[in-house]
Amino acid sequence: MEHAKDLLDETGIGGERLEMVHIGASDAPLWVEWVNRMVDRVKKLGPNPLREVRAKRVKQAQTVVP
Amino acid sequence: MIIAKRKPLDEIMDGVAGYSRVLLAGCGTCVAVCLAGGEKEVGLLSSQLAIASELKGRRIDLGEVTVERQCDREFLDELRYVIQDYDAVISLACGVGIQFLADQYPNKVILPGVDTTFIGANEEAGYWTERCRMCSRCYLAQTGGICPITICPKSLLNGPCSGTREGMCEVDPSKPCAWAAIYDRLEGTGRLEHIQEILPPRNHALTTTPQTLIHKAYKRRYSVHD
Amino acid sequence: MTRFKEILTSGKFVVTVELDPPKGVNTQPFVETVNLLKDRVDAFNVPDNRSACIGMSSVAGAVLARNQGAESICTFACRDRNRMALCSDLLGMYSLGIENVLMVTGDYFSFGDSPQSKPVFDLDSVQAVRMARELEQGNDAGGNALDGVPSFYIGGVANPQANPMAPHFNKFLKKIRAGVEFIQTLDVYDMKRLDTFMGQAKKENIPIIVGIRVVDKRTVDLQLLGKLSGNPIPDSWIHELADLDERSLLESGKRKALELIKSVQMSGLAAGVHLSAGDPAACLPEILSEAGI
Repeated sequence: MEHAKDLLDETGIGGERLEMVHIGASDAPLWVEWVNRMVDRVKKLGPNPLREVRAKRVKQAQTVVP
Repeated sequence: MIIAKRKPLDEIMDGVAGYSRVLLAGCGTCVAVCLAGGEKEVGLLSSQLAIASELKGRRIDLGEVTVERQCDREFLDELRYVIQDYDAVISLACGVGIQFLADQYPNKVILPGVDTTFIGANEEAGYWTERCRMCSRCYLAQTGGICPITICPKSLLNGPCSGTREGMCEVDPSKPCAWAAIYDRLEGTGRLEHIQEILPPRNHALTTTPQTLIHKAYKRRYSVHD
Repeated sequence: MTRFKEILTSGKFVVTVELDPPKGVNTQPFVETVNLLKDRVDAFNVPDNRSACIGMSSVAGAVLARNQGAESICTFACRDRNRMALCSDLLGMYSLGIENVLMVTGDYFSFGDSPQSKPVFDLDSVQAVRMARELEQGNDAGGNALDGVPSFYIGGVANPQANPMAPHFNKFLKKIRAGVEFIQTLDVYDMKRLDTFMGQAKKENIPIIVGIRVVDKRTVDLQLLGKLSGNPIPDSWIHELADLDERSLLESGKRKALELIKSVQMSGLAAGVHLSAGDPAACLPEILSEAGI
C-alpha cells in the first residue's frame, strides 16, 4: 500500500489520494467516518491534476481560432 | 541471483523525453524475483509513465512486453517484430540484459530502467542481501563459508581490522564483523588453523574486465586451445 | 637502526604524539607544533588521511617533521593505495630519510569527509607488512629486483579493548609473524582490559605503546554522532562531560588523560604512551610536565 502511494507520489498524482482501510461489513459508522475523511482530504488536495490537464486540452480543442 | 532496483521515474522520463513511441521490455528471471523489472513492474511503470507524461503535456505511446530472460538471444529474438513499432525501449532487465538487447538491436535506442546492484540471496520476500563479489578465487573453504571479500567492506583476507565493536562492523554497526563471524564459525568446527596462517594477497589479474568464460567441453567449437 | 628504535628498545618510557598534517598546504601550524614539542617527545606519528578525512600526504608530513630535527613515524593506510603505490611511497619515504613506518588498514570512508571515494584495500595490514619486509630483501610487490634496498622499523596497531578479543588477538599474532616490531594501540580508556591484554601479549616480547586521547568537545560530539573511529569514550565520561562548556570539557579531558598516563606509567607493562589531542600544542606541554615527562 505504501509502495502504491510512493508510485503515485513519483508519478505526480499524490499518494494521499489513495487509502486502504479495513472495515467490517456491519461497521457502517466506520465506513461513514472514512468516506467523510477521504472527501475532506481530497477536497483539501484539490482536483486530480490529470483532470485539469485534460480540461485544458478539451478547451483548446473547442476554441475556434479567429 | 542478480538484484536490481527500479530507477526513479524522473530519470526514466528524462531519458525518453524526445521519444513518442516507447516499448517497456521486462525480464522474467532475476529482476522479476526482486520485484524490479518483471511483467508486473512493467505494468506499473507503464501506468506511471502514461499519467506523468500526460501531466507534463507530453505525448507518449507505450508498449509492454516481457520475455523469459534478456541475457539469452533466443528470447531477445521474440522482440524482433514488436520492436520495429517503437522509437525507444526501456529495458527493465539487469545491466547484462540491457546490453544484450542493445547489441541485438543496435539501431534502436535502448535505455536502462533499473540500476543493477549486486548478486545476492533471497533472505525473505522483498529482502535481499549481497553475498558474493565474483572475485574468481573462492575463499569459502578457508573462512568457514563466510565470504571475507563481500561481508567485510574492506575485503580483508587477514582480518579483523581494529574497527570491530562488540563483534559488529565499524562501517555499519547493525552488521556483524565478518571476521568475528568467521572466527566463531571456524572455532565451532575445529578449523581455526585456516586463519592462523597469513593469507597472501589477492590476484586481481583474475578479475580484469571484461571476463570471458568458455566451458572446457566447448573449447574446440570456439577454437580456443590452452 | 633508527633513533626511535634505539630509544624504544633501550627500555626508556617513550612518548609519541599524533600530529595531523594540514588539510591544505598551510604547513606552518604543523611545523610550529613540531618545534614546540620535539625536545619533549620521542617521535611524531603523521597519520595517513586519518579517519578517512583528506589531509596532506603522510610522507610529506613525516619529512617536514624530520626537517625540524624531530623523529617521525609515517603512517601508511591500505585503504587508499594499492600494492604498487605502497611500494613507491615506501621507497620514496626511505629515500627522503624516514624509516619508521606504521602499517594500518585504514578507517572506512563512512567516518570521513569524502565518502564517495573508491576503496582500495588491495592488501591488508598484515600483507602490507610482509611486503615492506620483502622490499628490505630487495624485491618489490611483483617479485622484481630493486636497485637499492631500504630498511624500515615497522609498527602495527592493536586494540587492547577489542571485543571479541580472540579474532583480534589472532590477527595481532599474525602481524608480529609478518614482521611488525612495535605496536601502538588505539586510544584506551579501560585500564582493566588493558592489563588483561598486556598480560596476554607479554610473551610476544614486543614493545607496546598505549594510545591515550585528550578528549575534547569535538571528540564528544563525534561520538554522539556515531562518527568517532577507534574505541568509544566510556558512558560515565559522557555523562560527566556532555553538558560542560568547551573549556571545562577540555580541562576535564586533560585531567582524565593525565590519570590514564600515570596508570600506564605505574603498571610497568607498557613501553610508553601515544598521545592524541585536538590541539596538541595547546594541551600537551602541561600534561607532559605533570606526568613528569
